[in-house]
Amino acid sequence: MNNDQYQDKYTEVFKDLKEEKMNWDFEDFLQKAENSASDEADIILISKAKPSFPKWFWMAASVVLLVSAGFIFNLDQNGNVEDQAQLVENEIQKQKSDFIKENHEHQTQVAVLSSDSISGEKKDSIFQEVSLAEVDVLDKILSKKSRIKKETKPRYVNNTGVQNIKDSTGYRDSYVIVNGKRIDNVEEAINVTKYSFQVVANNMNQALAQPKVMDNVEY
Amino acid sequence: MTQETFKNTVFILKDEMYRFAKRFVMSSDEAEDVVQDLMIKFWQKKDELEQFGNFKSYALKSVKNECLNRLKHHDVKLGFADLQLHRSELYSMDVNNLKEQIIGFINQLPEKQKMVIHLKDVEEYDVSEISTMLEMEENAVRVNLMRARQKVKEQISQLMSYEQRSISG
Repeated sequence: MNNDQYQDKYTEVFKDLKEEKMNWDFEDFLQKAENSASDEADIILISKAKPSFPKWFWMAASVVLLVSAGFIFNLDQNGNVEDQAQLVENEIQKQKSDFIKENHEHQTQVAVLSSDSISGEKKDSIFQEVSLAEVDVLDKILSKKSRIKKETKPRYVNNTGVQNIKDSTGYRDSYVIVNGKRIDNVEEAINVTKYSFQVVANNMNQALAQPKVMDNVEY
Repeated sequence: MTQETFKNTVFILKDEMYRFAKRFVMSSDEAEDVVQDLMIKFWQKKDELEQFGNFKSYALKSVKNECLNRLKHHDVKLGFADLQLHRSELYSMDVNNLKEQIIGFINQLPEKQKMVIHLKDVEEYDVSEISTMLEMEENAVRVNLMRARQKVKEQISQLMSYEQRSISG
């Protein structure tokens, strides 16, 4: 079988294809077209007879409802914020006035606090924070450990009755006792002290001058 | 546009439209359905049809779009696998002779090749006309036509050699 035969077959098939016709005449078409036109007209009439009023009404109503709800909510939100702001302001004012009432004599209170613990420690956080927040020159100089020590709360003791209590040793600042001997004179006391320090220093030198090897120590 | 004018300019295209539709939708009934629907649409808009310079081209484009819409709808409805099965069933029903088998080959071609080979070898349009109808470059039309013809001829030769072998065997 050669190429011509294929070509013949090909042409034949396509010729057949071209001869295919649709069995439909114009009269049938016109009838169908008129029917479809009348159907469409009916449909249009039905669709016109049914107004879309309820749909639009409900849509508009829902939009209005949403907007009004949003508006009310927004107003309420603003009101709440304003109320809260007022409340906070009132509270602050109240606390401030109370604070001023309690602490209107600041300086005297500080004095009492520093010298007297009997009246009780003043428990006012605002006041204490303020005192701690003050910049101290010592903070810059001191080491961290010392700063911590410094920042610890001072503890107070009652010293009002101390002066009235008599010293059991009978100590008085008008004389000193050295080796059980009473010395009234200040110069003599200084001399004795100096002498004592010299003796101690000599003994220490002697002790340091004669070091001994410790043989009996085991490692 | 009068009835007579419509008959002579638009309705006369029904066979061509039907044949073109058959390349897409496989069954004759559906192709007839497509043409009828389109004709009624054209009738309803017959006053606007005069503005188209080349109505034949417009009509064939409409057929193509309508068929593709229907195929899309079918694809969605049946699913791709079912559609393939459906098509293969259709082919198995039709392949009772050589001509039907060749038409089956043509229908199995890719969409562009199918359209081009139909418009050129069945409807005998020029390449330039086909390029305007299908909105393709003329070169693209030529390439698609060449590939389509090649495929169909290959399959015809395979089929005929197979038949010869079976006869001689």
